[in-house]
Amino acid sequence: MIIMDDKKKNLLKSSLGVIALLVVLLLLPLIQTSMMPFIMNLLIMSFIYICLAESWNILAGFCGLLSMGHCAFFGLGAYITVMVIIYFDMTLLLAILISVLFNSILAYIIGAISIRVKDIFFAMVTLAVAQLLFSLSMQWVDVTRGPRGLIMPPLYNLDRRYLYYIALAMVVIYVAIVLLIRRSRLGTMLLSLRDNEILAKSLGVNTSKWKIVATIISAVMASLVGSFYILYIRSVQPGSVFTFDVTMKIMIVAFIGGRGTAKGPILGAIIIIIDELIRGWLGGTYAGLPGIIYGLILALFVVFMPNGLISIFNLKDKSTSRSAPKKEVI
Amino acid sequence: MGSLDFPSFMTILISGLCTGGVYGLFSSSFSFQLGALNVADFSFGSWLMLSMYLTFFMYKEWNIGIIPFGVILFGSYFIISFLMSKFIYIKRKTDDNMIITMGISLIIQNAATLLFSSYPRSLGIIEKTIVVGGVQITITKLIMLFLSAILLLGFQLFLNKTWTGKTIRAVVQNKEVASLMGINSNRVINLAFSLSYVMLAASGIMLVTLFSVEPTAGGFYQMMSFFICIIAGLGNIRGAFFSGLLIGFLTAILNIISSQFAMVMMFLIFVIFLVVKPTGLFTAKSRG
Amino acid sequence: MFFEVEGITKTYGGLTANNNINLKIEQGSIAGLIGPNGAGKSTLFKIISGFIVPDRGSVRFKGKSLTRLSPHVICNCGIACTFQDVKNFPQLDVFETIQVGAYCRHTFKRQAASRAREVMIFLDLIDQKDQKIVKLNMLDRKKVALAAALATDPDLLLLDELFAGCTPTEVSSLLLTLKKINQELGITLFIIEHVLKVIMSTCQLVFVLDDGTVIESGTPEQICMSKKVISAYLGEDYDASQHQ
Repeated sequence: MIIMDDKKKNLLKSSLGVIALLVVLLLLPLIQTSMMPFIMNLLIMSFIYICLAESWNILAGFCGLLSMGHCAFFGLGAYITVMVIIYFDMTLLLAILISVLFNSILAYIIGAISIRVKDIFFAMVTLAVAQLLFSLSMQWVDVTRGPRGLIMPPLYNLDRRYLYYIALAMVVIYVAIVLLIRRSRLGTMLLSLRDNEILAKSLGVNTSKWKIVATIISAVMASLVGSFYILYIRSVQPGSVFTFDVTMKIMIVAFIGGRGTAKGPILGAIIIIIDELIRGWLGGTYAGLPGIIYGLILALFVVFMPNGLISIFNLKDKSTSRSAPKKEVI
Repeated sequence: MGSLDFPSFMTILISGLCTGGVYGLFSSSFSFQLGALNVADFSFGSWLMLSMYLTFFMYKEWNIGIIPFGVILFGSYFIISFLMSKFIYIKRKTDDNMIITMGISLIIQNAATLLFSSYPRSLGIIEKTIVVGGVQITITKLIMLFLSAILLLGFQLFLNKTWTGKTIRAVVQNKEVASLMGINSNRVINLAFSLSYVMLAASGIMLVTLFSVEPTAGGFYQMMSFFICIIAGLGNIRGAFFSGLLIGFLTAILNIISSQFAMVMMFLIFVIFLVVKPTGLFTAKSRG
Repeated sequence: MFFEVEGITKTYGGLTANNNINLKIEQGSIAGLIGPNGAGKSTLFKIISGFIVPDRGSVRFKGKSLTRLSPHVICNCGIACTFQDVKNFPQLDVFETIQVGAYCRHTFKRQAASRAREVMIFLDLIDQKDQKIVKLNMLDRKKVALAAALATDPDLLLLDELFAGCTPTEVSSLLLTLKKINQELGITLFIIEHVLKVIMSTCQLVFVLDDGTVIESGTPEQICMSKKVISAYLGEDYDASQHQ
């Protein structure tokens, strides 16, 4: 009984913290200062990356499929949304639906690939798909206007405050989705196939099916973030969505927070805020310095804190993170 | 495509073949790492890019000859990779290594941007060509093709004939048994890893004579070497050289078909190939 | 026929792991498979459970051909297996591991959970419910593997050297469990075993495999007396009568 009480206390504590944080974030836009647009931009950018990291987590954390081309889903979502609006003059909702559809098809293909190839092969395939989309969006000038990118028609200029709330809602929903998946049949199936595919198969788990399901869920989540991105930034270029930098940022957010955890990316988003600050501070000078810092952080975190920041805070999320077992050295 | 006459077609093909040779060289060292040593190294392309840059500066700004430069470059690559292998890679799982090497790749790439700027640099060698029946052949490229073939042959000989090479092959085939035979497996793995980096440095020197270099070039070469390795079958060093030639050829042909979408088609072929035949074309040969 | 293997053949290069194997098992019985190391016992089990595709031959179960089906489909048909090297999910706890098996028959979490609980009570694992599997001892790990397989509600259970490395007391306790599974749940068992005590005391029918072929089959008593079996285990010129 005492154990149960402790569990409840912990739950209460952490949920109190979460509620407090939510209230602060909800009330924040009501404050009127000249700094507000800047702060809101910071927060929206970090929300975008939290959502992307959650979506990446479903593949990498739950399935053990290290997707190195996650920007492909994100960028495709953004591009298709804006393209449908520009060229076919459809409503926003329809545009988002079509982008989700395209992403599901892409995800189905990638999911089917994941059945055949593993580990580094899978990483490379996803990387290649992202490169493919990058080259296509650069070269297919008639449709994508190449490196200049596409601009959202001014019809959809939403107030920044609305966008902020949309982004916040997305974060809450995404975290909830990941938590739910962890506790549901899907989560158990995914973790079992990640941990030991042969045993999972012998226990009747249709590993191929679950992998494809997970990839599609992950892709749809990333696609929606892409649609939001185009609403917020209002323009999209190959260099801003399809580059490896985006995937890198997603992975860094997920890693710093704690791979495979639902709450980890929220902590990991600190790095996006730091990044935006550094970029603002440096301006255009010292190009490359932020990248060096990123690289260092990523490598150091994997080496010294493989379970991420969440392991210090010890928020008792029914964590799935790996304790990074070391190779046996003879 | 219609306006292309046969000699210029052949010119492009042969030039593609020659660059394919250099691709083959660095890919076989990548293949050696990946297949034989089971290290998934995503910083490979960036180290190649760095070697290209250093060669560029050696030639343009620092006044040291090619031989001392080569010794310094090979030495430093050897030592750095030995230490990385010993203290980082060997102890960790493939997943973690992938992420760590990505981090390192990011560091190198951005350091290059910071120090050398993102402006592409080219040695600008005036290329002498010989003309055979209307087909132009660039001498530099031809030399590079032969040089990479010789280097690779040397590496094969080293693996097959010397004591160190034999221990490497033994460890690759079965680490535990090799350890039982009194071979320090971990040290041999570190050594082999460093050797692949020396080959990498050499291909960097050769590559910069053919192409311009910019900080993001590493990603492209990384992708290429992976593609080539897949076609050859992982760990198949000789196969990697030949599939390098094949890829050089293929790139040339794709460029003739449509230079605009050459890269797109390339990646498409890559993805399709990985799905259809992830085990590679030359796998049967590598047995035995 | 409940379960039937017909003419299964599998070769690796020059090595014939299984050569034209035929066997039949009746519902509700306990059958044993013995044979020297490398006789092809585990290969046969992997073929039955779908992890290896045979070159020739077929596996029939309750009138249905199982050849070339994937492992998870075979599991759905009602054949569960445990592995020689006890496999587990390092990141899942005992309860969840067993749940993975339970999801084979149940779509919803509540049903799967209650099924898993049932199995845990049956195998007396309820105290270890929230433990990670890596923290368990070998006997409990084996019980968890057994429980997960049981949770899939099989009609036929393949056990590949479940008793390997167990102390005599552990063997007896596991044996009781197996008998309970057979009698109370009516599950047919097919076991590979080196511990002869297990084979002799439980099996109604024993198959002896040597060099990939079934050299003898019959009751444990018949197997003990068989010349072929003795020579396969101990060599041609071993005279059993001298050592009695």
